[in-house]
Amino acid sequence: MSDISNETNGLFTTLSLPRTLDLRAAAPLAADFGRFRGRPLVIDASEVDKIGAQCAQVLVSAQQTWARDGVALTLSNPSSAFTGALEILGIPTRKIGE
Amino acid sequence: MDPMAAIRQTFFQECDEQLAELESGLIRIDEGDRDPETVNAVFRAVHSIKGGASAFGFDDLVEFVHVFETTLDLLRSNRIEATQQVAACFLRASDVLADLVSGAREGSDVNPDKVAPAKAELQSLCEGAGSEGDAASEADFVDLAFEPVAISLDSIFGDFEESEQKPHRYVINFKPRPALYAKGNEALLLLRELGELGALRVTCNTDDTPFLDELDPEGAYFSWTAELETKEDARADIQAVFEFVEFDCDLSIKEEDDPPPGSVIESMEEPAVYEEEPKLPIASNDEQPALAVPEATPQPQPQASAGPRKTEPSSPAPQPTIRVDLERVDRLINLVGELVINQAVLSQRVSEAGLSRASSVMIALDELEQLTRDIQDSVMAIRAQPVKPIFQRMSRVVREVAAITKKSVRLITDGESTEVDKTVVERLTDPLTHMIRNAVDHGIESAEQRIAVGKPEEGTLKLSAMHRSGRVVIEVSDDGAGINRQRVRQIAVSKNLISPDALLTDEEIDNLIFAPGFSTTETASAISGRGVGMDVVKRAVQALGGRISIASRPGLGSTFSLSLPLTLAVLDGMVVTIGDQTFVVPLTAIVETMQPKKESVHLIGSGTRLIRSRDAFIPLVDVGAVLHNRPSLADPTAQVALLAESESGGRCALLVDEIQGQRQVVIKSLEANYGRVFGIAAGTILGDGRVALIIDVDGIINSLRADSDAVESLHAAE
Repeated sequence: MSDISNETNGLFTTLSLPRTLDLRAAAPLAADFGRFRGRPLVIDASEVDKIGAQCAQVLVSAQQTWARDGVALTLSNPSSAFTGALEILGIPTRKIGE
Repeated sequence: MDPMAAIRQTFFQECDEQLAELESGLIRIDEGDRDPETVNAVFRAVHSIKGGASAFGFDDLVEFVHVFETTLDLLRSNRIEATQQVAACFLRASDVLADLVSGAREGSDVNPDKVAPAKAELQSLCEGAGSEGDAASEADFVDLAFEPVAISLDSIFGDFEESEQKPHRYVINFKPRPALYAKGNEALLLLRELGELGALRVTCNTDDTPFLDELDPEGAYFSWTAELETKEDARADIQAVFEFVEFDCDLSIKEEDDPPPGSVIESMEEPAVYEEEPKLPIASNDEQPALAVPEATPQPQPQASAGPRKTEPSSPAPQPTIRVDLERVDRLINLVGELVINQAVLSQRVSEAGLSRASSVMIALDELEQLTRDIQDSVMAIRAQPVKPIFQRMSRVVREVAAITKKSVRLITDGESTEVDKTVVERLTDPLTHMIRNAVDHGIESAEQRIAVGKPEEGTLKLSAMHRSGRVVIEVSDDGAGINRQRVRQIAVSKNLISPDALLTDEEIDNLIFAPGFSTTETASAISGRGVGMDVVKRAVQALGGRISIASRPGLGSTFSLSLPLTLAVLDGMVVTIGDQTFVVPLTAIVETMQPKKESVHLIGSGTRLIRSRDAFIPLVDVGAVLHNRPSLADPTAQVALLAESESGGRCALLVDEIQGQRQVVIKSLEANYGRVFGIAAGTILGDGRVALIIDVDGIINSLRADSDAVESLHAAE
């Protein structure tokens, strides 16, 4: 059961990522992305306090999948913890969402 | 066994080892050990438990151990000082961790009231060190702002001496396998640790990441190339970063010979592309790496982490070990036991054939006997274990009981490496626990009482083990008030254990505490006063073939001594004849043998016979009569007396008809196969295939208490 929250307006769906995206959050995160396949998506990362490599893998996979599907995926308001973690991991933020 | 259950069982076995290692290290820290390797060992123990717990999904355990690990990490990085208070906090946390492991093993919940305070204590240490305490993971994941270390250009453009110190530049290729994550490790933390060694640039290769449809969220798709520039040689430090994950990843560490001048690129946005370095996979336990790795041409790199690790000179290399199913060991022990018996049968048959002792056959048989004995000793050694784990467990008992009774108690252990049979070790836990609880609860006084009589506020409890006369002796000594004999006697009278006018020696009064239901505690508490205690201890020790004795001095303390057989499988015995039966008397109990003379035998009281030996009168016991093997013989001078001594120091002379010789015999439990018989400790099979009973010397001596008065009166008459 994921604690990812989302809201949908007519144009896109916003996924608000939870504070903790550690090893145990990877499977729920992937499941949540699966539920919104085909929809334009905004990933709100403003609340993220920590993120580990496996959740980063899910986000990169989601970005690739959305790109292949020709649907927009946007990263919004990434917290400093989120960008800091990606920096440590050597992952440019564009690999998560434009 | 279900493979998953076997893995789980192994995990818990390893947990036990890690918990022992943890407690041992924490006790050393508590005692003032400031060796970084001790802290590392403690950290490793907790980290290992966390890894397995994550894999099995023991969430409560993982949550607690994560806080514990992070707090220990702060200790490791000197952000927390290893004071006694901190060590005490960690010891309490290790107790809770042990409970959580037990809970996970048994599928039961651990009382949150025990876990929460320990967790809060750890978190408060984290906060005190300037880290967030919330699962401390905050500290792991926040504050990750990447700050490259500036490399001084003086080394390149400075004078000659400075130019000697060229920066070291490493290229590290790191590809995790799923097992790395499954064990609770986090690639990000490893990379962050690398960043602490010097200026770092990280490139993540995300090319292997599949689309969501094919993605295993718990898979491992990313790999990293990290360039690290350091002022000093950092190879060992880099290897240390990956120390815990080396079997769960592919790793190569390559130092570049000619680092280009200049500092590293700080931007992560557009990392440079590096040529693929040849990978040098680490030896792995996995049969197949979870992910295919690119073809690589291994290059021999003697210093790479694939090679043997450099060990600290202070820490000896661990002995390689294997785990063996105990049933296999026991089967081997039984077979060796049969071998011993068969070897004895063969010796006897050859002897009956009339061959001289000097014949080549007899000489070869003697050699075979020696070899058989060596094999038996070696097999027994497989089952032998040091008492250290059980001693460590007792330190927790002391902590808990001291906390409940609000006493200050320090446990000192000695002889932890003393080895004894695994079964003996396992069955010692309960009796030792009772004894330790009693020592803290009843033996050691309150701080106020101790100060009042001029003792240090802190009580001392000493737990020691040693080998003595082919047995293991375990002593629990306290520097408390000693046994209050007057009070013990009053209670014994009030409970109708003795008559009010009974004349008892100090030793007999002390032994009253072993009476069932005896308790000096007026109200039942969490510790004692439930009528269960030292009688249970005594029965448990006796069931192990051991004895328990007390030495107590008022005001100075008490010492409880357990004497136990090293092994429950064999003993050296004296084979004797009584009537038409053959018996075995344990050699450890025999002091000397003598031929009774008429003038040295005295008849007193109601037919009790005593024999004089070196100015002492010793009860003379006709074993045949005691065991109802035959009527008592009128003339003891026709028999042989074995002067025997019990573990508690009691003595008697056992009358037997004839001594056949000494022999090592394989013990076969009589209780397991038949039942308990007074005067008999066990059975064995002799070389001629006949069954012989092993005499319970202590049981017989202890039954002679009633004769002690007669002995005393005779001594008085002398």
